[in-house]
Amino acid sequence: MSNKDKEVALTREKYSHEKFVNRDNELNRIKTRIVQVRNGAAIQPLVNFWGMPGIGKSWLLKHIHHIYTHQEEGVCALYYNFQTEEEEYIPPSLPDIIKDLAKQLPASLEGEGINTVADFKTAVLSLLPTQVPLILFDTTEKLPDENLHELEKQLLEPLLKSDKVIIAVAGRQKIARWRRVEVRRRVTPAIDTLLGAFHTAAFEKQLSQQSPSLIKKIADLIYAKTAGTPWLVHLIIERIANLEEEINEESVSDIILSVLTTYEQNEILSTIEDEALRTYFNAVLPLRFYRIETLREMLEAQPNRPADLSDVTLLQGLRELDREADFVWWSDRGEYTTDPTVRAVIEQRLLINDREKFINQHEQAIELYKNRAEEFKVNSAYYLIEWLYHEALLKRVHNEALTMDSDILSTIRAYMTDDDGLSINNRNVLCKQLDKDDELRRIIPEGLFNKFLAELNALALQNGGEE
Amino acid sequence: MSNHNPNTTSTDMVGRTNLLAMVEQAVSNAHQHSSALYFFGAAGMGKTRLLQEIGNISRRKHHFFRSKIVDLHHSERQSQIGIETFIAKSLDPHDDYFKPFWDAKTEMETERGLGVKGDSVSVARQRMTDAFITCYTRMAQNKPIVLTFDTVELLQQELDKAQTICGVSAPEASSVQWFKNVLPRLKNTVAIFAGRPGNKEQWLATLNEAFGKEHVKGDKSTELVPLNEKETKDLIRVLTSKYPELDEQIDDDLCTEIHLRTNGRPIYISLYIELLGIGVGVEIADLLPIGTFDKDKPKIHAEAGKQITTLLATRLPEGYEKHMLALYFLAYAHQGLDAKLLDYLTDYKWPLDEIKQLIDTLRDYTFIKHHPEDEGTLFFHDELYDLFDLYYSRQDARIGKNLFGRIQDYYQAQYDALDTQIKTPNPIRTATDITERQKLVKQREEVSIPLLYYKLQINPYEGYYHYYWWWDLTAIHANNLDYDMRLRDLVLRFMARYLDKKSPAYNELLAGKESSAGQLDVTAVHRDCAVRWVRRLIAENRHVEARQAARKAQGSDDSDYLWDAIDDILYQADLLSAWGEATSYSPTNKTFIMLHEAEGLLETLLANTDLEQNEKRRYQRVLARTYNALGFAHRVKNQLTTAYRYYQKALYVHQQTGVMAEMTTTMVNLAYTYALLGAFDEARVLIEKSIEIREQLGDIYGVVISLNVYALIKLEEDMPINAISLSDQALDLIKKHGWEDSRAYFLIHRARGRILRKQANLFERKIYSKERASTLYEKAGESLTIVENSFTNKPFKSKDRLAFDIALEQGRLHRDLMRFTRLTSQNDTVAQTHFKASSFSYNEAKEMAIVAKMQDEVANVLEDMAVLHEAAGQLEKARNYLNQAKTAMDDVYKPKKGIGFEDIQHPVTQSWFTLGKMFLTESKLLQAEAEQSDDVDDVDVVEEQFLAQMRLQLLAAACFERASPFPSDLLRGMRSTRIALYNRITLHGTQAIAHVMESIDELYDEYDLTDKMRRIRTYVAATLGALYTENIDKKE
Repeated sequence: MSNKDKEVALTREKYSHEKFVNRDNELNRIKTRIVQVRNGAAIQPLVNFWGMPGIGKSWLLKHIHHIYTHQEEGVCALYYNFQTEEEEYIPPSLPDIIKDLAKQLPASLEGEGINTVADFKTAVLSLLPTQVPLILFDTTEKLPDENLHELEKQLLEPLLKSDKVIIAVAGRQKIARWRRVEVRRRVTPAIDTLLGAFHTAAFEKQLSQQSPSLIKKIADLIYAKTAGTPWLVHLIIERIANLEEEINEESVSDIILSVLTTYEQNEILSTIEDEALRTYFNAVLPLRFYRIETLREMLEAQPNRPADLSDVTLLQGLRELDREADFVWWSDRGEYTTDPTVRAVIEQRLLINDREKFINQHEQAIELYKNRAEEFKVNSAYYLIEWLYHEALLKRVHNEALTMDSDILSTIRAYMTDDDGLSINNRNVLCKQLDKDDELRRIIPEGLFNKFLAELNALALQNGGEE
Repeated sequence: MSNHNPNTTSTDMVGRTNLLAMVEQAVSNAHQHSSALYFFGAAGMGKTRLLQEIGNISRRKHHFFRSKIVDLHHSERQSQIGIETFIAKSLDPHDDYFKPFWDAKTEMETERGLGVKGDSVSVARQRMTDAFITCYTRMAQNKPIVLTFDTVELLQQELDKAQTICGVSAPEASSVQWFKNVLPRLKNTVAIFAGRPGNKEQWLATLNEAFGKEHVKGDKSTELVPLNEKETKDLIRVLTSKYPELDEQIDDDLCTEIHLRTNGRPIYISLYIELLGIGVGVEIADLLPIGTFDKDKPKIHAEAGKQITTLLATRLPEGYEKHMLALYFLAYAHQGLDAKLLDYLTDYKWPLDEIKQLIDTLRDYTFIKHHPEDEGTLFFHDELYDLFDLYYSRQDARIGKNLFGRIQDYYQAQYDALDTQIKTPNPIRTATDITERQKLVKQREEVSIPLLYYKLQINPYEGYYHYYWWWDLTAIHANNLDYDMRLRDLVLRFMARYLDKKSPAYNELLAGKESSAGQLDVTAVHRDCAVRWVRRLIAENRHVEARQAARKAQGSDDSDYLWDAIDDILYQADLLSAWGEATSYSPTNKTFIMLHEAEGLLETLLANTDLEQNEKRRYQRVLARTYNALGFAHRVKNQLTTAYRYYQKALYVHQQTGVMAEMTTTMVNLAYTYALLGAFDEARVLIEKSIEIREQLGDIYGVVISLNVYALIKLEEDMPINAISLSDQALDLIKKHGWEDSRAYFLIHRARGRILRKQANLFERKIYSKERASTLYEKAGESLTIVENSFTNKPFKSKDRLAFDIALEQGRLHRDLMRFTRLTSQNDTVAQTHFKASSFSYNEAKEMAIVAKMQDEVANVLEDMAVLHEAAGQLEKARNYLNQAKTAMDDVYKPKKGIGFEDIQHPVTQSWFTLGKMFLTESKLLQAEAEQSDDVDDVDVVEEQFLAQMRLQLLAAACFERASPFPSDLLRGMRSTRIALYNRITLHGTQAIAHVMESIDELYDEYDLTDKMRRIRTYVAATLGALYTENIDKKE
């Protein structure tokens, strides 16, 4: 590693409303609820923004606060951040929180004198109907479970039950942690509130504000390597701006590598304290979905495979990982998954500084899914899709073209038609899943993807039609 | 709902008051008439909970006895014995009433365990049921008895298509028959059934038939409908009382929503409340999507399955990690999870006590059930398994395969350990050894049930063909009907659940594609079931029904069975083989046609060199049985040389498959056939080996059969004293085990009739005193009477062959007694009585032989009658019978001048024995006639007579030689022929030796019998001097 790495310190960029871009969906979500309150009662007034470090949660919350404090009227936005500057984290007590929030209430409400939840609730509800109360809690992952539950029970539940107070929280966790029935009933589904990386247009907007002169090639490189994670983009551009040498692909690559490496170490891996869990995390990182058996196989292929690969250890490990690491969760598909942006960022880092390992890991994945698809032919739709994903990814890395004659596509085609291939049900599943697999669409040329999908749809129709 | 959970069962029952009132009403009327209540409702409606409440009422009010819930889900409850045992145990834990029942049960199990075959096990089973009813009735005299049965939908389902195809009723041992035959006989009883509606009408019809329509309730009024909103709220209140924090959180609105989402199904209400109670933050909307309970929305149902599974296995709050692990494993442990299995699955990472404690804690969840007799074995509520099945079938298949594989390994290890112990050579004839062994066998059976289940989950094809197929056939062969039924139900239920497209739990991975190799073809299984029915009936000695079942299967117009259209050679061969076997006891042409067709089909299958090992063994097992049946059929037809060749083939193939129980049957058959052909060394090693193997198998009944056959072999070897010693051993075992009504007992006495007579005959060789001989004759007669008396009762339904044997033997006994009386006393009247009795029996035997178309036996009896009359001095009549015998004898067997013996494809070996005897008797008759004639002094006449007699004796020897392919000097008939020849020659004067030799040579030429005469010539030379050795070798 070069000397530059040592200099890297991942500082947060201070929020600036001028620099804020993107997140229209999220902003609309809040807006909708405000309208609902005005019309009577909010539906799902608890909005839980979550996502990986640097994805822009705090910026979003601060921006919401900014909008409803400075731009729009009729909303009383209160902001509380659980992040503190202290070395040792001491969770704030409920009275402290109330005190802090009360201070932000309009002066007419004499927030100074508010000490209890009941007082606070009365005060907040008294804002209505002229002002809709909107409370923003930032960095909730800092709060230990018991404090969160206390907050949930004592403060959130009474407020939410009115259906007239909107609460937005931001944290790394998916917050499957809400326990109170009334709170759970009012939370917006987590699937709708995951913050993902910036799409290209948003990235370009961010770039235009920070470094309008950056040449396209470099910009593309940055986007590809950061997957559009706004903080990482910011950090890289900042360093490019301070670069004393010539700005070229090589120097930028160095910067990217050092930023990504530090990010991975400081923000991701450091949050997984247990070494065994880190091993698990790394082993399944190339996979989009995993459970015990896939984890086991990926671990088995590692040069320094753990000695204990028993069911119970791996099961506990995965659950622990889900609980410990904010960017691993149980997906709606019924398997664990790693935050796609985290996965992309770490994978890009790997590709830069250990290409061979990257290739090996994906080859292992191909082997794994290929074997599964052969063993469980009848219902191998999901295996085939994953096999295709890894195959397509490697083709890109090798700069090779995936064509209609590629092995994997031919295999899928054969599975769609062979008597002992996929079941009718699985043929349909395959088509439907492929159709909505955006990640796969991004790595396979559009024309080829569509052509292939059309062919599969036709085959599915020929062989039994709709489910 | 949990049937153990004190928290649930002690709380007030919500709703269902009308149903409980019905129970009370039925109880108060029970003394007048027993009745049945049938509570039906969809899954998770609280049926089990209702049955539990009946138990609570009984505990509170004590006005009736009640059994624990008989849950038909458990395989132990899928047989008559299982139900009776469970009821007896739970009604009467201290054995105040049911002791006679337990005694009868022990007796029955002992018989079966020791390998008793045929009806006698059924008889013992019946005795056990009778004892059950008697004990039960005695108890019911004190108070009404309420019997509760859960999951009865399992009885309604017609699983075994083959049963209908073959037109066989469910076997007596099956649970369905118990409800039809035994339940209606129980007095002062209220029988309460709970189940999903399934084929409700069919079950109601069964109950109506059993109790009378007016005493059965199973209409709208007994349906468990979903709880109404108020009841839902009441239930929530009851449940939340356990969780104070929850109580204040759940308001009316939420109650209403819970009611809507759960559709008023108690299982889901309690599941939801319980999850909330332990701190799982879950929205009811997330748990149960709208449409979960719509029948036509299996996907949404699966979604609910996914949610619930995920929650239980991954999302319980902190502090519940071990619960999650256990629930995760429980979702796969369909056959129950106990502490030991959980310990194994968690790689022994925690102390066993901790695991046990965990199991105890888990039992408190309302969605967990436990085994009725074992609180430490847990199950999920059935409804949850339904959900899990849907969900898991869409998951990474490797996970299920691995876990089912691990559980399978767990049971496999237990199975193997027991198997090794059982198979460890241990000459067992002592009672304790036998009991110990039976315990092991029983344990192995118990382990094999879950083992088979997991094997089916891993690979249905292998599970069926590599395990079930073998185990069940062996169970059938051993007449272990209860075990057989449990195995069968397990397999058929598995198929109905996972492999039937109509089933909600249909699993396309397990079902596979019909066109794929190595997938279980459900139609083939149904066909295989048909063959099993035929074999079951054979095992019970119900040969006529077995034939009918086979005929129906072959003639079925059901598309799965359409004989000319199906491509299932194994089934066709197997059915023909079983059908042939069922007819082999009185074989006809068709018997041979069927068996040969089966043989041909199987040999063709086996000629395929690509066969997978197990598939090959399967064909071989059927082939071995086919060969054995062919051997047996030929043996019954007295075609011994053909018979032993098939037995040899059977033995060879059995050695490949290693199915010892069936192999010993062949060994015993073959040993006896060898003995009849004079091959005593071969006979002895086989029969002794059969005893050794059967002892190892714990098949004591088989040992008895072997000992009896060994005795007969010794008798053939002309060693009646050894024979009787072996027969005594067999009889001792019979007495020791109380098998006096078994088939073996009568077979032993049939043999003893002959053995004792032959033993008594040793009097003539001065081995026994007159008194001893007289006692032996008497005992012989007693044995024959024992067999005769059995004709009117079981176990002999088809008495043709046996009755003939006994009549013939009676004839011989009285003939020998007549001779004995004459030798030992001057009492002509007694001799005359024996003569008459003998004559009567012979005539009876003759008639039977004519009716049964046993041509060779007709000649045989006529020959015997000639002997009788000759012995009685009625030479003319004797001559007459002899002529009749000659006429009755098929000419093809007679030696012909210039030709010798003809080649016959499947000769009736018996014919040559009879023919030999006829020549011998004729020679004797000639002698007797000569003694009565006036020409005794005429040298030429005497010379001529001598030559004639000698020639007849030589021909007799030739016939005996012809009968057996084995060079045996001990062949029956041969020995007496030689002695007769020696005596005749010495009587004539030994100076005639040269003449004798010339005559032998002349006879060679005349009849072209070169190969048949060599040894008799050697014998003459050996006993009368040997200047003629060059001539002896001359004709070789």
